[in-house]
Amino acid sequence: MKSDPVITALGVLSPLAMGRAEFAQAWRSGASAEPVAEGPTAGGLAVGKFILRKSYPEGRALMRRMDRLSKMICMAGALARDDEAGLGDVSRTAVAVGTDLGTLEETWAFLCRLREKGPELANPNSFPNLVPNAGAGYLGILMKARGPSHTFCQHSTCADDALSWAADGVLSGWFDSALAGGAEELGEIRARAMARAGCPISVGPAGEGGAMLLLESRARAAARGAKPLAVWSGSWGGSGLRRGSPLKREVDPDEVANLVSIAVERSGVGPVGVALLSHPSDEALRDGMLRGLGREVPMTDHDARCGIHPADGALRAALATMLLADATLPVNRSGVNRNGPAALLLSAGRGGSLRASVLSEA
Amino acid sequence: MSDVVITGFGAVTPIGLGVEAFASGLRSGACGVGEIELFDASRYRSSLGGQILSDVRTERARELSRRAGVPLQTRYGRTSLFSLAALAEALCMAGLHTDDLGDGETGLAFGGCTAGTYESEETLLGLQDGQDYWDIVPPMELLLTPVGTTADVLLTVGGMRGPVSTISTACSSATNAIGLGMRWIQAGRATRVIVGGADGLCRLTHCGFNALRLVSDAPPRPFDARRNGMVIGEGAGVLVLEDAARAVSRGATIHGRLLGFGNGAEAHHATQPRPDGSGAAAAMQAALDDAGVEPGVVDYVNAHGTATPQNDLTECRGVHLVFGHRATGMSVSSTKSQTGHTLGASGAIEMCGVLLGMREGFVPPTVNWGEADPEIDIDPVPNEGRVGSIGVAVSNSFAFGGNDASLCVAHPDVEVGR
Repeated sequence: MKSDPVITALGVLSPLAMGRAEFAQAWRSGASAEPVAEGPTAGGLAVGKFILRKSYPEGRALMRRMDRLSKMICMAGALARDDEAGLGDVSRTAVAVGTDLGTLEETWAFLCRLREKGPELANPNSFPNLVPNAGAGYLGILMKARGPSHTFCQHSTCADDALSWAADGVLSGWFDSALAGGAEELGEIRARAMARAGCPISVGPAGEGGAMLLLESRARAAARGAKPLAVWSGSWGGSGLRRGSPLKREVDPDEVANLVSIAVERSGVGPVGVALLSHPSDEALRDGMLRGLGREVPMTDHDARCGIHPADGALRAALATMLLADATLPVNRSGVNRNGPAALLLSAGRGGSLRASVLSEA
Repeated sequence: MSDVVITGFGAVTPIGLGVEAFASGLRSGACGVGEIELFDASRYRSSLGGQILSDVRTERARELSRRAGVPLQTRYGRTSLFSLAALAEALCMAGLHTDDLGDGETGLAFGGCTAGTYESEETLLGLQDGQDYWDIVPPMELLLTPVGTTADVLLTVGGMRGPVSTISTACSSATNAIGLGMRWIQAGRATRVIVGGADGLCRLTHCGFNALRLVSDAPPRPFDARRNGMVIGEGAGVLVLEDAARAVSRGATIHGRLLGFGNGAEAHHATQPRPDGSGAAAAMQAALDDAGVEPGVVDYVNAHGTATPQNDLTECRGVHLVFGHRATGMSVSSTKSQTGHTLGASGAIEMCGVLLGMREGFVPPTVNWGEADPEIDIDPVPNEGRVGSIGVAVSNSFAFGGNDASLCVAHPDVEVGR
C-alpha cells in the first residue's frame, strides 16, 4: 500500500542561519537577519559567506565554473546531506529545484559584456550557467544523483511546485526519494529591477537563500533507519488570477479559499495548526486562507526575519518541518505555538499561480 | 491510473505556421534555416538561425484565434505571441474554446528558456551614449523577462484554473512539461492539461552557443559525417492532453496516446553527454518501461539530433543500447535539421511532428544529409519524408545540466502499452 512521503533531512541556507539546528536555534531565540547596510541591495537580507568546497572536496574543479545561485543550491543540498539522518544512497534519487529568476545576475553580466565587447569575447564558461536548471545539474554531478531532475520556474510557486512534484513522484512509485527545494539570489540587478517596477527591495524585505529537503518513501526511510521529521500529506495547484492581469500578483480570495479547502480535505490530516504564506501581508491571500481553513491559525513571520523571495517556499517547507518535528518551537516572535498537527504552505505567484500544500506530524 | 490522450495540437515553426504547413514542410524536406534578420548576427561565428520571418497572425491564425477565444496579443513579446498562435490552433483542433478551460480541472504545464529576453536585449543594446538602462526600461519589459511569463500570458488568455507550472530545463523543457502534464492527469490532479513550450530567437542563446563553438555556419546536418554543429531556431508547440475517458465522453478526436515518459540526470558534465550514450539510453528505456512497451514495437525515434558531433554520436549509441540489433536501419530522424534547434520549444514542436507523421502516414526526414558517418548506423530518413506508418514512436530531448527526457507515444488505433 502506498503511503505519503516523509521528510527525513533538510538543509537550510538562510540569511537567519545556515543548517537545521542553527536555524532552529536562531528561530527559537526570536532573532532576525541583519539587513544589508549599503549598496544596491541595502535593506535586503542576504545569506552569510559559505565555502562550498569544504562540503564537496572532490568537486573543486567544477566549482570554479559555477555561478553563485548554483553554489547556493549545492550548499543547501550538502547541508541536507550533513543533517542527522543523511540522504542514504542517492544514485537513483530525483532532484527538483524551484527558482523564478535563475541566474539573473550572471545573465545580465553576459548581456552587458556582449554589448560592450561584442560577441567575439563572450565567455563560454558562463553560458551553461545561464539556464535555470544549471544548479540542479551541478547538484546531480556533485551528489552523483542520476534520478529524474526537474527545475520549476513559476514565480513564487516555483519551489512549492518542485516539492509537490517530488512528493507525487515518491507517492506514485516513480522514484523512492527526492532532494527537492529551491533557491533565489539577491543581487544588484534584482534590486534595480524591483526598484524600477515600483517595489523597493527594503519593502518586505527582499531576501535570498535556499533550502533542500529529502522526501522519501516510508519504506526507504525505515530501511536505512532514518527518523521521519514530518509527512508530506498533499499538495494542490490552481490559479487564483483575477483575469486580465498577467504580470501582477493579484489573487482572488475565493479561489484561494477553494484551493485551501481542497488541499486540507484531500490530505486527510488536520487540523492545520500553523500557516506559512508566501506573502503574509497580502490581505487577499490571508483572507482566502482563513476562509478555506475555517479557523484562525498562527502564521509564521519568516518574511520579516529571513526576507521574501520567489523560491522561499522551500525555506517555508523546511520551517514547517521543524515546527512539526518540535512542538515547542514557536511559530513566530510572539512565542505562540502551533495549535494543530498539520501545517499549511500557501504560495501565490505573479500571474496567478497558486499552490497549497499540507504537511503533518510524522 | 488514467490513460492520457492527445486531442489537439498546434505549432508555429520556421518551416510552417500552423500544423498543416508544418506537415507539408516536414514531408517535403523543407529547411527553415537562413540568415538571421531579427538582429545583426554578422559578427558571430554563425549568422544562421531558424527564424520565423513572417507575421504569425496570418488570416488562418486570426480565424483560429476568433474560434478559440485566444487573442493574438503582441504586447507580451514574440515568444508569447508564438505560444498564443499555437494555443489557438491546438484548442480548435481539440474542439475547445477558452470558455471550456475554467472548469477547475484544466491545468497548464509549459516549458521554455528565453521568454522576453529578446525584448530586453533590444532596450539594452539600443542604449544611446549617456543613457542608463534602469532609467529608460519600461517596467513591463522587466516583468516579461522571467521564463514563467509565457505561462502567465497563456493563463490570462485561457483562464485555466487547475495546476499551473513552468519547467525550464534548457532544451528538454517542453518534453518535461509534456511529461508533467501527463503525470498530473495520471495522478488525478487534472483531467485536461495544456502543455508545450515556446522560445524566441535572441542574442543571448545565439551568442552563448556561438561562444561554446557548438553552432554551424551551414544548415545543420544531423547524423551526417560532416556535421559541425547546431543552428538555433524559434517557435512554439502546444498540445491538449486529456484523460482518455473524458476525451471519449465528449466525442473528441484522439490524435495520439501518450504512453510513457522518462527523465534522468546524467550527473556527468554541465554541457557534455556521457560518451557511452548511457544517459540517453536510460531516458528512452524509462519512457518505454513507463509505457509498458517493448523496444521491438517502436517504429520511429524522433531524435534530439542537434548535429553536434558529440550529441549525435552518443544519442546513436543510446539508441543501440535500447533497441539492440534493430537500431541498425531503424528510422531515427532529426527534424531540427529543418527547424533549427528551438531549445525550450523543441520537445513540443517535435511531438507535433511525430503526431503529423502518424496521422498522415509519413516518417519525418533528416534534411541536409549527404554523407554517412560509419559510427552512426541508423537510418536517418535522408532529405525527404518517407511514406510509412508510425504506430509507436519515441521522442528525445537532451539538455544542458545533463537533463535527458523521452516520451513514448502511440497512434490512436494501435493497441500497445498498459
